[in-house]
Amino acid sequence: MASSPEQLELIRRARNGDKAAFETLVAPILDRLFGLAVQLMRNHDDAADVVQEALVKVYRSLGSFRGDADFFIWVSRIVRNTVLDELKRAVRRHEEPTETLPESLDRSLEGKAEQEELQHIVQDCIGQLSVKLREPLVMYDIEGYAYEEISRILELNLGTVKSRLNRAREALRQKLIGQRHRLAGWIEIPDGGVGRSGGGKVSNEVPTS
Amino acid sequence: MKCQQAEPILGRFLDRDLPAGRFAAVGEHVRTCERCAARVDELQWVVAQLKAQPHPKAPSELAARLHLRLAAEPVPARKPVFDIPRSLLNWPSLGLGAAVAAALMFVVLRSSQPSVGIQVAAVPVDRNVGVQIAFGVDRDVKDVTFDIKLSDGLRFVDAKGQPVNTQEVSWKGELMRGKTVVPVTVRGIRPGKWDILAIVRKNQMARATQIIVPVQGDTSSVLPGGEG
Repeated sequence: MASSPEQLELIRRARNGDKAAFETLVAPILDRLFGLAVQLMRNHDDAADVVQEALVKVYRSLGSFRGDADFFIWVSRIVRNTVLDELKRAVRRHEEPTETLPESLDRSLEGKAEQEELQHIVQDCIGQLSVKLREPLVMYDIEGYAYEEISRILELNLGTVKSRLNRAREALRQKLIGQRHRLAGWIEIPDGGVGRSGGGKVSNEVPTS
Repeated sequence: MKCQQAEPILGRFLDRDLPAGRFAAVGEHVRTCERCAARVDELQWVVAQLKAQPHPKAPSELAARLHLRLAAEPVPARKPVFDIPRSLLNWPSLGLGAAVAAALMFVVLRSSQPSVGIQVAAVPVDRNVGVQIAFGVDRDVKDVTFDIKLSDGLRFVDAKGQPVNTQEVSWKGELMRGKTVVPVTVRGIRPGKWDILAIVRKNQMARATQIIVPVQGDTSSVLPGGEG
């Protein structure tokens, strides 16, 4: 999807040095960019730093933005690349990511200790996945990006995106099975697995595509 | 369908992202296979947990911090808006001790001025030389075709600074108002006066500029076929 006329006008003004236009341009997508960075980095403070750094890069690179491209996808790609750079630097510094995700729990879930504990466990397991698998998983299943968007951001073909997503879900399933002792007591765990037993509750309605 | 065929696509089955025939086949398998049915249940549970993950909002100070950072930023540089082959954008190859020359070509698509030849300083044979080709227009021009052609004694070089057999590159892009500079590195493989012909086309209009590169050296150092 191409950028909207409103976005293109803001980009044109920002290219000429109108910083307020740039801030107006990125304000509606700031939460999504931050969400993506948090999910990939597992740390709120680092994610905020990376998004800020990436947006400065975006501003500096506006001259090379193609008008027929999707601005959000272009910016997401820069955020993702900045995250990867930072993760590589952290590895070189032998830093371990500090888990801060529970800070962001939705207000409606506050006080729901079980839900928080479950989210903790899932987050722990996501954090153990390689970045290669974590990327499509958090983008598709948590942040709600479409396959095509992920394909363009990660610069992978659609088949590879779907294949990695499948592998990521399977890897996460295995890791959650490994955590069944932590899941016990608040959720039914069938032998050898997590979740409810029951037998493939996907609707039998055949997709039209 | 067997388990080993179904397992790799159970995720896509969950997402209903399979052609109708395959979806039905997986569905049939899952109905009759307890193990795969359990796997689908588990994956469904995993996906539900992922979708229930919190969506953190950007901290309020992020916008303020960005505002402060941007205050120190100059106006964004205007850069080429096209995909020139990356192998040609290889300034690092200049580290080979090459002479550096610059030639500027201003293109005014609407003008009828004749092509102009620009001669750069002579370079030794078998050395790389960087040439800046500047395309200048007085307004944004979309859907432009760029061509750069080398005459016989010149070769483009790859990212490692080695000559390649290519003598012509072409790409599509757009020119933004002002000057757009494309750095190109070439190597003189034979002594002589060779030229780089840079052409920019828009519909039926075209402008060509010739950049003359004198290459010096004795004939014993000529590289057969431009390789080496």
